[in-house]
Amino acid sequence: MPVVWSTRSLQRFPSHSGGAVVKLRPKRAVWLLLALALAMYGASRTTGAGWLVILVAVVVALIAVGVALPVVGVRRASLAVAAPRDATTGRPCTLTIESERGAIVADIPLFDSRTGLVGPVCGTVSGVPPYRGVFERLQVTIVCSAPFGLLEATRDLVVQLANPLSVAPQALVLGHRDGLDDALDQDGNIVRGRADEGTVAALTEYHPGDPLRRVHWAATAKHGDLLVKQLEPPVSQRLVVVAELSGGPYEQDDIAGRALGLVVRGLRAGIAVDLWTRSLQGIDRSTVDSPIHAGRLLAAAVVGRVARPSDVGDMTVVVVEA
Amino acid sequence: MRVLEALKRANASGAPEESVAVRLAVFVAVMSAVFALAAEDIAGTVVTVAAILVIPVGFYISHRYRANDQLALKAGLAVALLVVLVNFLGALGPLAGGDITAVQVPLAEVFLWVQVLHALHVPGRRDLVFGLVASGVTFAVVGVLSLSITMAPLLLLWIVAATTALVLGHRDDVRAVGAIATEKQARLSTDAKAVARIGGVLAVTAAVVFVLLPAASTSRALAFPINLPKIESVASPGGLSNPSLGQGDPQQTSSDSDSTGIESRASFGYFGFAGQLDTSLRGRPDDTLVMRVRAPGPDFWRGQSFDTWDGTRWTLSDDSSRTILGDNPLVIPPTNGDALAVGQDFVATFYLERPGPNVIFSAARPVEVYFPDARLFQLRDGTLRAAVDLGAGAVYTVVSSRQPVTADLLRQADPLVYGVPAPIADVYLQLPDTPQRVFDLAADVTRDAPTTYDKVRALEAWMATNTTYSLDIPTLPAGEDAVDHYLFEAQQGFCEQIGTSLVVMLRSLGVPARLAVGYIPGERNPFTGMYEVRASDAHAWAEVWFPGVGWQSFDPTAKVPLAGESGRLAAAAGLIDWIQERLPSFVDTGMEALIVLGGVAALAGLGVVGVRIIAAHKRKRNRDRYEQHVWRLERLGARCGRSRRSGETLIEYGRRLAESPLRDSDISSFATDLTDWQFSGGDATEERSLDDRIRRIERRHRDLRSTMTALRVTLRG
Amino acid sequence: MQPALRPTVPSPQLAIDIFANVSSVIKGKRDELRLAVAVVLAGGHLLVEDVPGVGKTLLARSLARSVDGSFGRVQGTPDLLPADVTGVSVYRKGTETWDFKAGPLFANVVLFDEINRSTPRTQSALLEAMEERTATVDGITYAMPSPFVVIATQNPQEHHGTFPLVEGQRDRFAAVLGLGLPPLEIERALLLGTGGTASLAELRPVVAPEQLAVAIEDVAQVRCDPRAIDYLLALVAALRDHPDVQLGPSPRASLAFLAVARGYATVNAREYVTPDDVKAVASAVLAHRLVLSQGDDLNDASRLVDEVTSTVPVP
Repeated sequence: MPVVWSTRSLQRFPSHSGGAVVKLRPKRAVWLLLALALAMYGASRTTGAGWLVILVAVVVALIAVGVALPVVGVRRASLAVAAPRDATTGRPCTLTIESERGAIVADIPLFDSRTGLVGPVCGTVSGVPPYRGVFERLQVTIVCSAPFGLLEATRDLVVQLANPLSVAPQALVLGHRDGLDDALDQDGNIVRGRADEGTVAALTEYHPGDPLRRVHWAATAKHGDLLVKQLEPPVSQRLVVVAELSGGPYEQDDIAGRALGLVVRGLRAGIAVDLWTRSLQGIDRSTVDSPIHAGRLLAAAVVGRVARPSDVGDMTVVVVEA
Repeated sequence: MRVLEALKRANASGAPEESVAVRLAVFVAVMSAVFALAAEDIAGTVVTVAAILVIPVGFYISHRYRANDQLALKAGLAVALLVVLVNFLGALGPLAGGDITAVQVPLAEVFLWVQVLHALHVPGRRDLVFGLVASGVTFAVVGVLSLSITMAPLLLLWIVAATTALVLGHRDDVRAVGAIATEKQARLSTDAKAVARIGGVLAVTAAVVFVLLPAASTSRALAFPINLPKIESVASPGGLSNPSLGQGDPQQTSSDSDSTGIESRASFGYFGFAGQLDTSLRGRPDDTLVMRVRAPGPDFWRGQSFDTWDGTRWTLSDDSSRTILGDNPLVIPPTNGDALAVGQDFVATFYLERPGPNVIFSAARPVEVYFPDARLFQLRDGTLRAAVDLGAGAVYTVVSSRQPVTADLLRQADPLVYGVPAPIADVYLQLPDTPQRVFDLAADVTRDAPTTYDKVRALEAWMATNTTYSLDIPTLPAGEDAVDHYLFEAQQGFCEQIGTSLVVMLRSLGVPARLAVGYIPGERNPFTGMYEVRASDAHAWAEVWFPGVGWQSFDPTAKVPLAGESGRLAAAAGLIDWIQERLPSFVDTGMEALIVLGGVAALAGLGVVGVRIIAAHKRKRNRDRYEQHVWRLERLGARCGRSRRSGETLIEYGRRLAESPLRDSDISSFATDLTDWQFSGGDATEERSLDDRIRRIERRHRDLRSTMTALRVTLRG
Repeated sequence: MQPALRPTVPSPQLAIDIFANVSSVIKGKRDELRLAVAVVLAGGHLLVEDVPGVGKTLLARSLARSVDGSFGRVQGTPDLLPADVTGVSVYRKGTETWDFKAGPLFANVVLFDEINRSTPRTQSALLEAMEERTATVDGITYAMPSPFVVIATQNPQEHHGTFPLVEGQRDRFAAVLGLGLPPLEIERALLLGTGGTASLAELRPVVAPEQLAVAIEDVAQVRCDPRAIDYLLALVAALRDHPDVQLGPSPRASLAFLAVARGYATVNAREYVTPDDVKAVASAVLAHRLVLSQGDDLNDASRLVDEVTSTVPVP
């Protein structure tokens, strides 16, 4: 049996997760229909025509169904939200929201009023977050006006995201201005240390005149003959970026962006990067796996002092601050 | 320039309507309104034909050029509409006086013209909805004028079309926002399902509202309809004329008691509407629809009465009449015996379908008559005769004054206690030579009745118990007293015999009574709100005089409640009877109707089963043995509320099922063995044992309540 | 290599023997052990990833000891040279030839502890060996013995001084296993000394390398119904189409998937693959091959794979 299927990572939210207040907005047509029904009722009471009673019943039923079903629909609506885990400021971020049972999603400001992610429709919503941050909740307004479009019933829901949305700052790769200058060699690689330290590329037999320093004693012991290391130019193995945020939102994002740029440069050079930030829980010192990881750390960063590393060792430390 | 721009903006009707389905639905709705109007034959032929031809063309043009900005067309239509309105107002001019009836034709024509002109330019949704509402109002106009239910199928069509248009329109809006799937094949079926669902909800709600609404009633604020297609004066003014009884003069009395001078009467003619009533005559009128009555409730439609009984025939002692002149309305003064207190207004409009007697039918005591002619004749007993023949198409309205009598009121107003005035006693206590046993019977039956009202009821009860109502009775032997023969020998009779006997027995007790002839209320049509009176509803009954009340009708066979005891009529009154009348002739009672319904439901059920069998067969062809076994297991699980989840392997599902609520480890072992059988190569011998096992498991867990869930799985699978 | 002998032991029996042997040392991890044996029988390489102290090395070593073949051990450190792993060509001045001294990589079962602490260069030296079963040292290519299984371990939480495996390297491992903490009862039994846990030293080999090689060939022939293959492909396709996945499993991944599923079926004493086998090994085999559009957390990936397996319909 051939099976072809595509998954969506949807999280379903029942409709009682949120406000119960339903706002109603009847369209003009409701009043017109009511007026029509009243007129026909009045005519039926004066002309004695039985058919008018039937027509009144039909119009009243139309109004009743057109007014009641939207309210029922908006109360019974359930949402399925697919939100990414990460986004970047200044770049479009896409959310997928589906509502069942005929209600349309009308408005989606993110819970924190700082960001500007709004969408008028159901389905895929795209917006550009202006600032970084971590968003755990989504406020959604749903609208239902089925089946005739006579009455709009709206309701606000607050939806808790299973994975918080981290909006990372834009990585500002500044090149020569990011404070790494003194640690760079002419190729742009982060260099540290003396020329005679580094990794061992190969072993060769000992020739008289080779410096004793370069004898690989472990290999010699194993093989019984003197073996000498051939070295590669040393490269600093570790970069520590300390991001200390301060100032207003724009300044914070600027600092975070510069820090991220540094991290990206380090990762591209193939070296290990540590990122020190301050989050709500305290100071985070993490080894960065990927730009996304760094972005998440920086998204969660808050204003505050970050202690500098005390024991530098063979690490290159760059402090990014205002 | 700015004004023009502002006008343009105001006239912009929004986005053009793209959906053909919505347009089609509105078109059907508008055409059904036009056809309803045409069926009632109100507007002129020219307009109607123009409407039927032009509207389809108009809709097509509007659809074709919906995107164009048709200023010229709009201007032209505005001008044309202005012309139509001016015409209409001009036609209204001479009809000043609030006479609604005369404005019918121009009104209908205006609506048709509006529909025609509007149909030429319906680019956007708003215009279509306006067309829909206009067609609805057209139906209202037709509803006011319609007397029968010919409009019903067209109204149903309109409801379906309007619902479809509204639902589809809204769904298109929602689809544009992306909230509904838009694949082509899915769209039609989901839309159809949505329309059907909403239509069903709407129908149920409308039915509930209809049942709760009160019946339509007539208000005196409006003028009443009157009509007289042909004006033919009666032979002798003040006299009775009844073309339905043939060429003979109905007023002529015959010398023979079994006179058949009224041979050539029409099938719907009643011999009671003549100068005399011979109770020895047999033969009843047929089922022809004679007239329709628009009334707020049921009552006897009284035509005329007789006061002199000679043992076999009723006659009128005094045929003289006085002329009543007036012009819409004619005010009718009270006659001898009428109560002077003002009662409640009872407005009844009579629409004649067949030629009948020139008698004005009314309920109780008429106070005002809206009549196409300016002259009426009133006899001493209150009977009203017209000066013209009343044929098919004649319409008149009678406002009667009904005393809100209740049983207790009648008990108090006892003629035997308060005495009978001489004018009434002289005429209405007359009795011929009647066998004594009739009088003895009357005295005997009413011995224990305290009041006159109770006496009347006692006599009615005796007749109900001891005699039978039958249309097929033996002829009256010559020379015999009809009442005596009926009460003691034949003991079966119909309305003439019953009424006569009641009158005779009451007169013997000293209670003034007379025989009235007319029609019983007839069948109420719950849709038009009118009583449909058939020729077979022609009736004769007793009228008894009560002081302060007047002449009160009594009839043990007709179901007319006392005026004070009938509640407010609901719009749906008579609905059940109406439906029962229209059931096939072999269905007599509600029980049989239920049996028929049950049979229909059983057939439907068989049909469903047949569909299931065919579906199962198709499924068998498309699937192999493994999938069939899997499907059976899934069906079993669905039956007890545990459907197989996506991504759940068969073994996991079997294990889940084997726990609550089935508690059957055979299921999990079956699932495991089925998997092993299929994926290890699946040889045929093993398969048979699997078949037996699943069969046994199914039999063990058969549960009827969950069959509906299984049906869902079945149809989906 | 010696010609393969037809073993007298059918591969399910062999699998169960290995499994029983290993579980006598490691208690309470039946599913993970089954998966590990399945990977071995599939002829693939295994990466065991978990926090320290749950028995990664123990698992690898007990697996290694169950096979009566040569055993190589490499401890990943930042100063580990590729030459330390593959071996070294030593120049003999006297004869003016280069002698090749084989490194620990040339063994039937190679245990590579803490692979993420070795440098990327050393890791890449492993690549060639794992994939092509050969190693090139100083221009000369040497072949690995048969069977050849690499069992690597790493601690995913440790970031300090580590070099995370690159995508291309991770793909060479047929499956990535996480052991997890033992259940409390087992841990208690461990501490109390009860529970009958054999010590590693007492473990005896239960299968000869030739038998294992033949078993691996047999496992590759295990019957796989077209339905099961369709299901497998559906899972892979669903992963490829998943919006959160930037790069889905490659065709090599599908092959590995099928092979491990076959191995798993064999461990469960069956000669045919059922969808349950496919579903059970999916996470271990596919999660580490996914490149997610956001983040590269293995937990996220396995969560994603679990989500896919719980939504794709099973035949």
